[in-house]
Amino acid sequence: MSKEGLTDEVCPRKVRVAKCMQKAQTSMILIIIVIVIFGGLVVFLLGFAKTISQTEYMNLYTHNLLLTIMRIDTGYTDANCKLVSDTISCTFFAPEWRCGGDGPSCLSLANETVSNHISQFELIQKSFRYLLKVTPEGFVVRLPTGEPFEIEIGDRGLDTERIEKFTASERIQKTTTTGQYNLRVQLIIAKR
Amino acid sequence: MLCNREHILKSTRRVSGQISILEYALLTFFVMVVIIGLIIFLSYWQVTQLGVEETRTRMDRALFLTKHFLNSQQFVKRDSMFDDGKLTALFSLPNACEELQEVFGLDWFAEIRVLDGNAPKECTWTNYPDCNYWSFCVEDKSNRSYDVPTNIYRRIGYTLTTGVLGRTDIGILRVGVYV
Repeated sequence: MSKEGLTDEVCPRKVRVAKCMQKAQTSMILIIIVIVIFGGLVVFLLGFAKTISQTEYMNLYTHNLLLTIMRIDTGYTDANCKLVSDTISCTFFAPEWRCGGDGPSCLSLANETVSNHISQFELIQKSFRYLLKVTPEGFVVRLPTGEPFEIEIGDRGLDTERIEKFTASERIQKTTTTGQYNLRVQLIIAKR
Repeated sequence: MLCNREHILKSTRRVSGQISILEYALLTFFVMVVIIGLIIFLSYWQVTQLGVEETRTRMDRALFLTKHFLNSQQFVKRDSMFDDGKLTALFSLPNACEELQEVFGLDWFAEIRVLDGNAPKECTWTNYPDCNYWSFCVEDKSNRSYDVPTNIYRRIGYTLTTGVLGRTDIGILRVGVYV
């Protein structure tokens, strides 16, 4: 008599082996289910893991960088070229002006000052690309070719790339005899 | 032959029983291993998250101090523009750090440096304005800090024949907390 009181005539050996195999398969499936549940739990918990976000800091950094750059003294004392914001404004409203009488043009000085100063910051040097973009608001300045004029200093492709970017904007107001005009200055930075 | 068959059946029954016991023991052992592994993982995860939370609290404090420094009338001419006269006056106080700690608390430091390409030179009344660096509560300890671009207004910027003109330079503010 076998364990269950079954003889070979009542329950053939093949059937007993098949039952054993079924039992083993059930155990294996149980083990795999437990592993899957454990793995799923680990993945679920890791999804809730807290990390330190630097977004607030990067927004502050970008905004301060733009503000700081706009306020720097260029070294020239004439009103059109004293600060970086003055030279940017001069590029649109007095493009023929030469800083210091016979010095560089406003656009050239703005380009040089912005590039030199932004690259002094370690964060920008090591890890970030930047683009400073100046566009007129509510009016259009055209080049002799008829194309609209705007200033872009830095990595020009950054504007259209679909990556994580940090942006800061400021406005330069200029009052002329014909009225008040605004220039929108935007600084975009993104990781290399 | 009948005896042999009975003997074989008894042996087979004994072995089957032993295999069943072993099977259950193995399964129980495996489930215990999984449970213990889960407990260890959860404990490790909790400890890691507590560490992250502590670091985040420190960094939040450093960021708060940075924003406060950028706008505090004790240091600035206007927002994000430090006044070198105010900084030098404060730095020259014999107990400047203690005075500021009464306002901002303990375990922090601040440094302001003009990015003029020269080596840092601490500002005192004896070398002003030929200097470019101010520091408060700086100690040789491990810390976590934030660097932020800023302007520094130099009261004696350009010396012309017509007089003295101020100048706005670019600099960096570093504010940190000690860990």
